[in-house]
Amino acid sequence: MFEGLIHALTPITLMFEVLGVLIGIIFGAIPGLTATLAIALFVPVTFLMSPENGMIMLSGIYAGAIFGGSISAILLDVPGTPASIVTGWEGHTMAREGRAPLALSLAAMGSGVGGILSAVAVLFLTPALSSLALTFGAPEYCALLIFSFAIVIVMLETPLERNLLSLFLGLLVTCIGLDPVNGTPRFTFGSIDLMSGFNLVAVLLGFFCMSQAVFLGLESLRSGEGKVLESGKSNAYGETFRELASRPFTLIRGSISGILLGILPAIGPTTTPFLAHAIERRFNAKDPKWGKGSITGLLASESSISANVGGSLVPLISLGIPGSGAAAVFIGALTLHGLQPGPTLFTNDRVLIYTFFWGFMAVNVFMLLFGLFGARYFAVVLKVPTSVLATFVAVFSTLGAYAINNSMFDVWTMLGATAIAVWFRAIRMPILPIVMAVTLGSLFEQQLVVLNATYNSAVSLLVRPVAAAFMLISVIMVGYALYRRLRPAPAPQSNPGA
Amino acid sequence: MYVFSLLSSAVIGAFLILFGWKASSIIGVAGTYPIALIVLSAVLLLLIFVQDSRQTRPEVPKQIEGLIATRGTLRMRHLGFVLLWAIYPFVLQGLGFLVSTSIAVTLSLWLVSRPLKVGFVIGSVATAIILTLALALLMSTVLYIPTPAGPLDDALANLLFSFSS
Repeated sequence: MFEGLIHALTPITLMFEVLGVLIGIIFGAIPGLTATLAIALFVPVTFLMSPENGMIMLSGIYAGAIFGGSISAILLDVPGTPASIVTGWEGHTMAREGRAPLALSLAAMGSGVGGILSAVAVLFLTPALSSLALTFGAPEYCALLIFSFAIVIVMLETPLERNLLSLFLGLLVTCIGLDPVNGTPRFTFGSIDLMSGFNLVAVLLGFFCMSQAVFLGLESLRSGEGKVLESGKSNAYGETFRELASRPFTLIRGSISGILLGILPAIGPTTTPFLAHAIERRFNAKDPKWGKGSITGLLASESSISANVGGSLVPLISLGIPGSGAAAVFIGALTLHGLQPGPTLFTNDRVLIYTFFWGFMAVNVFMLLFGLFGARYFAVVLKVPTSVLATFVAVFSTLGAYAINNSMFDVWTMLGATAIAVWFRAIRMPILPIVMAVTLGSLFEQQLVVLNATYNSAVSLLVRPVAAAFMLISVIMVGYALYRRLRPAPAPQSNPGA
Repeated sequence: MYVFSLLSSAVIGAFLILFGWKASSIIGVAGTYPIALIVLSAVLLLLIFVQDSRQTRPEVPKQIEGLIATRGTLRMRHLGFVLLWAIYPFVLQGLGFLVSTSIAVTLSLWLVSRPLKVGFVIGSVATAIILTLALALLMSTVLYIPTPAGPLDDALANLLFSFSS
């Protein structure tokens, strides 16, 4: 293990760690350029390097891209990657209040701490965590996914029936394409492009980036030329450390949620911050700024996203099972370097694997430092006129959609999603349940089919305690939300002094 | 907004009817899941439609209020901005990245900037060309992301290749 540490700290390896993080941050900050795309594009570059340096650079790109997405989410409310949607709620409100450097520094610290804690987990707990991942079957997956949907439905302020309709419409959209079991075409209307359904990233670009460009353009016209926001105090280090020190358990809870969700195959970083944010809300029920500039919410979201990156490496390294799309590309990179992911990796390439683990920890330290000390420079974006921002968000949304598959179909998908986002905003129909449905819909249907084939009655599911617990919590949450909505409003108290 | 809300429900209803009709022709279990979703959605949509029809003055979100309140030239310019980015992908395919993006960025800056001064109008053309060129170089040499190519893009790629070889 310590031989790995020494290898991870050699100057050449440190250089690749820094390079990976920088490339990742650039990719992540540009809407549409995801961590998966960044890793896929840089896999050929790693052929020239030793396997451990190649893997470390790719992990730097992965971690950097996930953090980079938060920079544009905080500054412009345009999530660079789908994982940064929740960060945008909290961070962008802080930026609007003139606290952009603080929000960026806190995001960097939260992200860095989450990443470092996940690196510790990867280093010491990989075998134990992998066996936990293997206990998850179709009932647990279905229950966990229903729990994720329930959280989103309950936490939104819009009426329950609108949230549910939005969720079902999203799930219906994921039915477009080939059915996951028999390969039967559904709702394709004879189009070959529709056979594989709509690309998630293209849809999210429309929902969150291009629609934001439409409103930024309007804002620029209505308010005239000038700055979007005040960037605020450029040196916020003292405040950052104070805020961080007062919330250690938020970071720990966020990181644990991220690691545990990361080790579950197919639960990628997009879903994690929603769950971590909702869990943290239970501990901070009285926070008046929750969802609108809460520091606790921002830290919970950021720590969980980065921890998810580390968590997804656990099943990848020990079992050869990818925890996310980016991790799947990572497996390809390992194979191309002649390494076989799985338990044999620990026996055959022990030094290499520990070098990679320590390198991943160093990557997170660099990411923290870049984010912390670069916050004041990132915040310069706020001095750019709104008209320029609107224009470039539109350019990047289009190019980002095109870059997914080098296909114009994804660009049309993105434009269609933009129109739906603006339309749904006008009729007070929430977008978030659709996002969750589009992200998790295919997995949900697959697991439902497996569940249906494996279990004959609902009673037999009770022998799966994890699944039963998730289902029970989901029912209680939705039931309580329904009760709160249906109960008569309390009569206003008379003011004795009046 | 009242009529718009009701019309929107009708459009979603039409979407559900279309999908329901298509789902009924899917053979086997592949159709069961979407049919269940369509039925649940239809029930909820009906509930929302009844609620909306009772609410003659629905609450309008702040951003949409701004969109409705914008009138005259400003509304036309905003509409132009939206149309520009809707047309941009068509032009991108035909003219390539460098030409179409330079034109689109320039027009976009003109459309959403206020006040529109002569210096800005001229400066925005130069800014658009320089930024597009920088973006093209970043995409092709650092990030390895392909962009739709036209004659100018091919020329730039050849130039870069001749430098590297």
